[in-house]
Amino acid sequence: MKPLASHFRAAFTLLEVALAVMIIGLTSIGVFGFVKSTLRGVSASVEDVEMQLEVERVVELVQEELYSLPARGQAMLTGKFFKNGDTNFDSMEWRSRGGSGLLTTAATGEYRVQIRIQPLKGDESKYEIGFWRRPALLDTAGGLVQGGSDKDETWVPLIKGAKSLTLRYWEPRLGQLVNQWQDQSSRPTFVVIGIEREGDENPYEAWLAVPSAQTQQQ
Amino acid sequence: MLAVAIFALAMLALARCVQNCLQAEKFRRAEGLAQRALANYFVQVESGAIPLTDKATEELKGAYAGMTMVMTKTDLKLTNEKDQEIFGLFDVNLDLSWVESGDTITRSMKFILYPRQK
Repeated sequence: MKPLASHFRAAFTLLEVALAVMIIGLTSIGVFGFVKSTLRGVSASVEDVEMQLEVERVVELVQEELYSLPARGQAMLTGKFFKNGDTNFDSMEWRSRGGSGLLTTAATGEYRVQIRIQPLKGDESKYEIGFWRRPALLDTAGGLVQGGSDKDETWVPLIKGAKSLTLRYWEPRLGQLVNQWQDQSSRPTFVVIGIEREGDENPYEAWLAVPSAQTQQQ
Repeated sequence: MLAVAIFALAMLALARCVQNCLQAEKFRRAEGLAQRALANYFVQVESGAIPLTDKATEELKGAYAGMTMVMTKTDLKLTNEKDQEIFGLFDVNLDLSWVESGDTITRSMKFILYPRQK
């Protein structure tokens, strides 16, 4: 008769091994899912930050242009209002001889520059915000002369996937915001710019000071 | 049993990580909004669109809903090189507060203002 102890061998049963493999499998699936969702979250966060930075950069460009706007001069800043349903498609125009408002310093003469929203080429259902530039005064040997035509215009897209562009102007004489700025000689105290992108809950809104307006009011 | 317990603990820890990530994202968004709200308010105060009072409280709307702006103004006591008092300068404080996860968060901006004479 064999001793009883020899029947007990240190080993796992098939059920235990299957259970362990199942737990490891479940853990791996869980970790994989977590890593995947984290990477997706990081990617979405980076995309969101980049989109916000894109909008902020455009707003800063406009702010710089408004900072450098001269107190004298006709039609240096005008704004048009256009609304389709609940969506604003406003535009603002300024004159520039180079700098952030023209997106280049390598320019001769004077340009009309507009920030505006327009449909994408080839897909009319989507919109983009950008700078439209057109020569207004040409630099010649005899000085600046009227010139330029619509065929010389250029479009610089800056924000893709835009939904609306809202521009409001503070009229100091009325003490309120107005939809458009048509006064050729005076400047609004500040401009409110609202940019809404597809999927945004609320538009990005910035209040941009126009220092030359303060000079005019003195 | 031990393995299941370890697995459950690991899952709880991972869930906590995800929660913290989401919280961080919320804080980042709120911080950006707060900085913009302060900058926008500063432009309005500086240009005179918002009248300067000793203390004013405003519940912000739209994208800034849930935020409260408190503006306080104090006279600045300054003198020039001849010890003459300089009038018309104010110390303006903008305090923006909002509630995030039960905690009140405050961001402030302080500047000196010389209101334009109309």
